[in-house]
Amino acid sequence: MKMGDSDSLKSRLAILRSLRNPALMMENPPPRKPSTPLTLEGWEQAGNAVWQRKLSEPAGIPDSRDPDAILPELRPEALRFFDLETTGLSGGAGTVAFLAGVGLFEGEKAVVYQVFLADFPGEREFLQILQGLLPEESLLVSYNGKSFDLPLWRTRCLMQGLPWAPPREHLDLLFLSRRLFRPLLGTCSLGDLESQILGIPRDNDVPGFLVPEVYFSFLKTGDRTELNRVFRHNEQDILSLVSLLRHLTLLLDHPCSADKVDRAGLGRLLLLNGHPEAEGFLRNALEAGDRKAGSVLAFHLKRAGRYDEADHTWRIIMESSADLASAEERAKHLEHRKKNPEEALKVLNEALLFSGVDANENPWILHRIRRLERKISRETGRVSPGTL
Amino acid sequence: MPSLQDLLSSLLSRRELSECVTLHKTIPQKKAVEVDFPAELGEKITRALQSRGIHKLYSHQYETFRTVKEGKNVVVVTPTASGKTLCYNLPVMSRLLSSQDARALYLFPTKALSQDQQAELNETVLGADLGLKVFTYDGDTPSSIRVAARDSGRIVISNPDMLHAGILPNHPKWIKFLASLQFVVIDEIHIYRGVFGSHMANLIRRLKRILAFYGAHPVFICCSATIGNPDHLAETLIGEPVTLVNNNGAPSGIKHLVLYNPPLVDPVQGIRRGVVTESVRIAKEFLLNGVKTIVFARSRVRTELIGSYINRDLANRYSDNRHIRVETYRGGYLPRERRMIEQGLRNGSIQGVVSTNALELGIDIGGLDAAVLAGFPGSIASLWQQAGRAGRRSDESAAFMIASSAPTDQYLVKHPEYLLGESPESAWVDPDNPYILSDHIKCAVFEIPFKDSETFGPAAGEMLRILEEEGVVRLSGGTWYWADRSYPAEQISLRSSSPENVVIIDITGGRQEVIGEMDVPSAKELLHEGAVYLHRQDQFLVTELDLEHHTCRVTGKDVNFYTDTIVKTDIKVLHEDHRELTAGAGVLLGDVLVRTQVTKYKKLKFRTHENLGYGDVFLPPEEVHTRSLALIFQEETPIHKAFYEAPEYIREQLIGRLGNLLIQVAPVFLLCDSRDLGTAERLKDPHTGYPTIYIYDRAPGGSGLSEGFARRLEVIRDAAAALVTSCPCEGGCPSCIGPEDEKAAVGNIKEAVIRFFDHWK
Repeated sequence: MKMGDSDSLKSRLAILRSLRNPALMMENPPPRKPSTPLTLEGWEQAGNAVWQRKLSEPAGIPDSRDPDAILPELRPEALRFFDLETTGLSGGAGTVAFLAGVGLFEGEKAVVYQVFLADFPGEREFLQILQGLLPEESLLVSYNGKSFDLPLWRTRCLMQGLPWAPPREHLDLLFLSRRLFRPLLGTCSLGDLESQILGIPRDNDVPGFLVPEVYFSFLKTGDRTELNRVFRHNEQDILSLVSLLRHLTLLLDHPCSADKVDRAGLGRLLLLNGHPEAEGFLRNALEAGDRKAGSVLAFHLKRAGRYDEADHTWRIIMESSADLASAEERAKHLEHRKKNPEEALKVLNEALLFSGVDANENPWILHRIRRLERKISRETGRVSPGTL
Repeated sequence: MPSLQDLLSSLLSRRELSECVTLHKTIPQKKAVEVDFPAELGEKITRALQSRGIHKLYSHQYETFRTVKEGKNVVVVTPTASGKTLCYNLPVMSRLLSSQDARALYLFPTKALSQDQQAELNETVLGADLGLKVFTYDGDTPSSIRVAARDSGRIVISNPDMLHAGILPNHPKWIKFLASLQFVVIDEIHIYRGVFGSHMANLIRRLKRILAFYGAHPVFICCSATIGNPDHLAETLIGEPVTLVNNNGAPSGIKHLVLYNPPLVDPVQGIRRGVVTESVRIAKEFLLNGVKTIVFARSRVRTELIGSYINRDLANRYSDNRHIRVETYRGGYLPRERRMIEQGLRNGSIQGVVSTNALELGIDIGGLDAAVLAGFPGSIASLWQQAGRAGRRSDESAAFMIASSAPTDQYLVKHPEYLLGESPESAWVDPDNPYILSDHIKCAVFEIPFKDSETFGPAAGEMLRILEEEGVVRLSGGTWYWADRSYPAEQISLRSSSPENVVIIDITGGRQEVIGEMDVPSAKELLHEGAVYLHRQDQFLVTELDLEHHTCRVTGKDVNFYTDTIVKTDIKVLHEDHRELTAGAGVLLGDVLVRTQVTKYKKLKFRTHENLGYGDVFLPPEEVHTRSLALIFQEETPIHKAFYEAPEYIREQLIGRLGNLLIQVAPVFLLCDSRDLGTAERLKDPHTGYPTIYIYDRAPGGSGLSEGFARRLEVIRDAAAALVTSCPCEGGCPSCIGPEDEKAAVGNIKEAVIRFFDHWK
């Protein structure tokens, strides 16, 4: 071997790469994909390297007899549940969507359409079929679609020089779910909601982060066994979206029957939408000991100008805990509206005492206390040395 | 206060100083070459300039404006204080005002520079109410502003790293900006040389490829400091013809260049007074006479030492230090501190600054009257840059270079004609370095799939086929696609140094305050437990260095010493790929581990620098896994014979000089920077068993330079031989084998080298 020829360059590059990335060292160059034509049972070929299928799965329609303003008016026939499987999770121009799942209602039945990109050159047709499944007048339902699936879909159209016309309405259930479940679960992935809120089991599932590997391995070897698990994974995601939407709709229609939900979050949502049961729901929650819900209620009352009711609510909260934020709100109310700085000072000092926290760590409370003290001494005619 | 002229004459008439001066050259003043505002500049800009007291353009500003208007790429060579920013801002802004869609991208080598630039632009843009939106887009930009920058920025200021990992891989998000991009400004292009330059050239290829996809073909405006080949460098970086503008029309006052060799304290041993002490002395003479002065030091520690000596000498509580404020400046200070010092220098509240080369260029610190260079900064180009920091457009200025005892410094100070005659170094870039090319082809294929016939500099096909075997790209239907879940730009760094910094936390008296930061390799040398960390004249003792969490805890403490470490570097062959006989020598190519270990530290007393004792350092070594060539003087080869012809007492010096000579010559052939290569010379190498010279890639993982060296060994050998033979110096100089060492002379080393080359054929 002579130094500097192409073979040498190749082997040098290979060794260097493996030094930088030991993972590459373990695999030998994969064999080229056999040239036998691809067949996918149950799928129909829809283009050069694009396949499509329809899965009929029974599912009820989300209860939309009493459409809540929180969800844009739900028209069952317009709903499109949407999820993409992609070649990477980081986004960027080189991340490609290779599987699209679209769920919709045909009569009483939820069905799932899947479009599969069997190789990169078919992307244009893949995107055209996808666009056909998601007409502009439909209502898109996704989980984290606003930050992931939609921008990615847009990028792909842009890269292919295709116009991009997404559904005009988009309901990203992640945002609602975060408010309602994250304080409870600590996390908020669709998988967590399935297992802990919706009670849907998943077995033999491909974890999301392995999905790209499965696809690349299919491209290289043509082996479809693992790919079938990805198809099922995507189908399951779509069906979970349907269940989640139904669950959310129920929750918002009948908040008082809710179980396993962050009540403060739900209450805030109800208030935001002027739900008639909102206040009652929060009051019940406070009575049941949920101070966070109580604080949501109190701030709502304050904002509505119902100061005495708000003050009353903060007092209830403080009966069970020396909550500094509530104390501060009460102090403001007593000082400014009730013109009773002595009482305000008392509330603060007591809260500080009972909470057992270091006043120095709460400079704003300390500041308020000092100010009240000065005000009182001024009003009583004494000159406080601090004001000089 | 005396004028600078009077001050200099009185200084240089003092015998103890004049005896040390080996050159005092006066560079006459230069009148401005000015041109009226061209009509195309537009009324808005004209008025904005007038309101700032600018009524004419310098010739180089005008020529840049005209050339860019013609749609030609340009590189403008701009010394300090010559009105560089107007060179690119005028053509860009005049177009941005006349064409509502046009946009411009400004690239600066570092984040600090881009912030500085935005401040200046905002002043121009807002002050003139031009209404052009300018955004800085870098790692510190909050995400809320990122969207605005992409969608509504007319000028976006960024850096190569952000373009590489943030903008280009996400180009669809930038479509609006990129599709209407009409200008790319690349400032400080002389920084992009060697390996970093190869990265930059490929980054520009990626940018241009994406722009072509969106139908944009911008004009490139590059700015360079004075180097040997600015036009060639710019053409290599952007891959297009470039027009050179170097008719600097800015005026300059009289400049004095003084070379100063500290007096001998021990003539027998050739020991001179230290460069630190002497620099302090000269800087004080200036400062006490009201001359605004900058001192350049060659290291962080020296910067702090010089700064603190000057301040202690000036300390006088009754006169508020005679109202002279001197600050130190270097990388690793908090951005807030740096901004404050820069501002103080601009508004005149700071009279003196001691800096590393961080202030060499770019950052606007206004005019200074004197520069004191504490040692030769390493290149002729840097020397002129640093000297150029002193000197405003009309006033007289002076630059003193204080020689250290290093052979190069001593040579320069004794042969000033060399310094004046030598042109600044050229910058070499190899845009087709296969290692770097392959990295960027990965990124490029992620950004837009490659047609099989497409080129990326050279043809991309061969490289893509290699990447296919690696499994990261896929050829399908005549097009190459990225086929890996990773995000390639994330794994490829444009710079060889690691981006992770150690955060320095002051814990004095229970405080928890971040006071600075430092890169990891330097932290091992300067922040080991027991080290004295000097920070803006304050002393701290390092109590804990936690490399895992990248934190260092220090406590404020006044001690009478500072610390310096003893660093051992060794090189170990990990894997031999190939051995052969080439060019009359044994040549080995392989993977090596270059290990730098801090073993001990010395405590040195302030001022006298006497050694107060040692301490041990227990830190893991800094290890760089890279590629190396070994030149083996093995038996029965001409190189072996040539070496043993030389008398034994000279051999150690001989092999050392050879290594130095070879890496001085190599950049021209390898298109790299001499700092991209490292050498180690061994009289008897434990791995090969013979005298051996290792020449290795400094970039971790290698960058193809050692392979290139092996391939061109014969040419490099002959060029080295020709260089040393034809060099007019007597016993060696920085241009050939390095200067004679006055402390360790062993006969005429240059003759020995020439004889060596006569036999190595």
